[in-house]
Amino acid sequence: MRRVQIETLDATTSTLTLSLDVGLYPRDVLYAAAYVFLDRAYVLLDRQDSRFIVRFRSKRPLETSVFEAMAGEFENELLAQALRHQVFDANQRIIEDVVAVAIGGASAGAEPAAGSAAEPALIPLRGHSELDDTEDGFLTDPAGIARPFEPGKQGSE
Amino acid sequence: MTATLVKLRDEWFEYADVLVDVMIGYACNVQCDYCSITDEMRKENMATAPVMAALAEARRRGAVKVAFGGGEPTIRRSLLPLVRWCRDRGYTSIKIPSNGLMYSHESYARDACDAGITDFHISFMAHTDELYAKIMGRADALSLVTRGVRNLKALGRTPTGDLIIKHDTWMHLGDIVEHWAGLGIESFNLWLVSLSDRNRDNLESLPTVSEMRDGIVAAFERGKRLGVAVRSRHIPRCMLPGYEDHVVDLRDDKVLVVTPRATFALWESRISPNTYAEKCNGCRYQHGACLGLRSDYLERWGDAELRPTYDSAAAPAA
Repeated sequence: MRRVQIETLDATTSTLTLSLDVGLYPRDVLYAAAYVFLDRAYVLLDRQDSRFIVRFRSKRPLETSVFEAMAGEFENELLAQALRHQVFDANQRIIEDVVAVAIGGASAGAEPAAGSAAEPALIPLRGHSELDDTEDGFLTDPAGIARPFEPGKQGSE
Repeated sequence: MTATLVKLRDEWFEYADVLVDVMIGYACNVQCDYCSITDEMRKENMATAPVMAALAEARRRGAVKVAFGGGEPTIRRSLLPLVRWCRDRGYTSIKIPSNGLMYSHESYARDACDAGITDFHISFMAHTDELYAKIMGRADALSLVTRGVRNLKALGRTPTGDLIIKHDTWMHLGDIVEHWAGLGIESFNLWLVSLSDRNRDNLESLPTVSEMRDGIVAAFERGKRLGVAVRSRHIPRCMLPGYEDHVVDLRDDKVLVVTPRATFALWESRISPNTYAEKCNGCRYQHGACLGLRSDYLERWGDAELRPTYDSAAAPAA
């Protein structure tokens, strides 16, 4: 089974249904990818067993070939959003450090620890291995431990 | 007053002695069956910038102790950057209370230690798969938390255990202490389940202390036998006669709680013991060694179990 596949495509009702393996992309990525299509279609996200279900209902009549292209665009968008997700994670600490300096400056700054040599660097030098770390959490969290509990959805995960 | 002092209720304290306890958000990766956090509260999370601003100000005034609570703080991606930020700016005590699940990832446990967490607290729900799953809603909860404890121990850290006293745990408290002591835990706190917010109507969860006393005492005694500390943090001393030295005064921790909604002293919280019954008036420990009782307990069960100690002159008229 393909990771993302067309379940139904009906140009007469302007609907397209895709499914994808829940283990492939985190939910945030799915939301972000679906968001891109809001101007073209009404989008419903659902889940069936181990697959996410994405239902599109086009806001205007489309040819079958256009729906097929939309399915491909959605796959590409998933990939793009997953990469954005990874880049954000990889730079999270830098972002936090920049905010820290901004806030620290705005509040007259917190004193460094007594006896410490100097204020920590804005962007600390890292070991090469840390920069090379491509793990992004969701792929290494198969049990979903880091995933926030969502009320009303317990047992469906 | 100088800027290095903070007022907690009606007393002034040096910031250096105060634990700044920031509730960075109520999001959690599980929903325990006694949790008081409502679905609405789960959506409340503090943005990182105001957290840092509050901590920068507290540090400037001399604070060196911080805790990040929740919810489950370890699922927040900014937690470890916040911990590093605090460590690098002079916070020497950084406490994280957790359900322990995330530490089952060895890499996360290592990162948490490296970031600068000094005090790991883990809520141990039970000692069996079945009870753990019943309370936490995850069939693999016990094995994950066990793995987390082992990861932390392998890194040279010994978490403190937080145990919840409720209708389906009190009779197992001794065994729970023994189970986790067997994995190297050396200190346990007992917390009484609270009938507040989401758990307000779960009356069954809170039996009387008298009913649960045997289990609580068993935990104290098991701790003594095993050489680990077991302390109660929610039950007045007069309800645990003979075990008063196991009762901790929450005020000793000097906790300043910072939440998305408000800032207050821990013992002013609705889920802290801070209410006296009328019969407490004149008790030699009132306003001293005794903090009082939790208001939800008093509302549920009344004051029949309280045994005030009156000096003869202060004894109420019969």
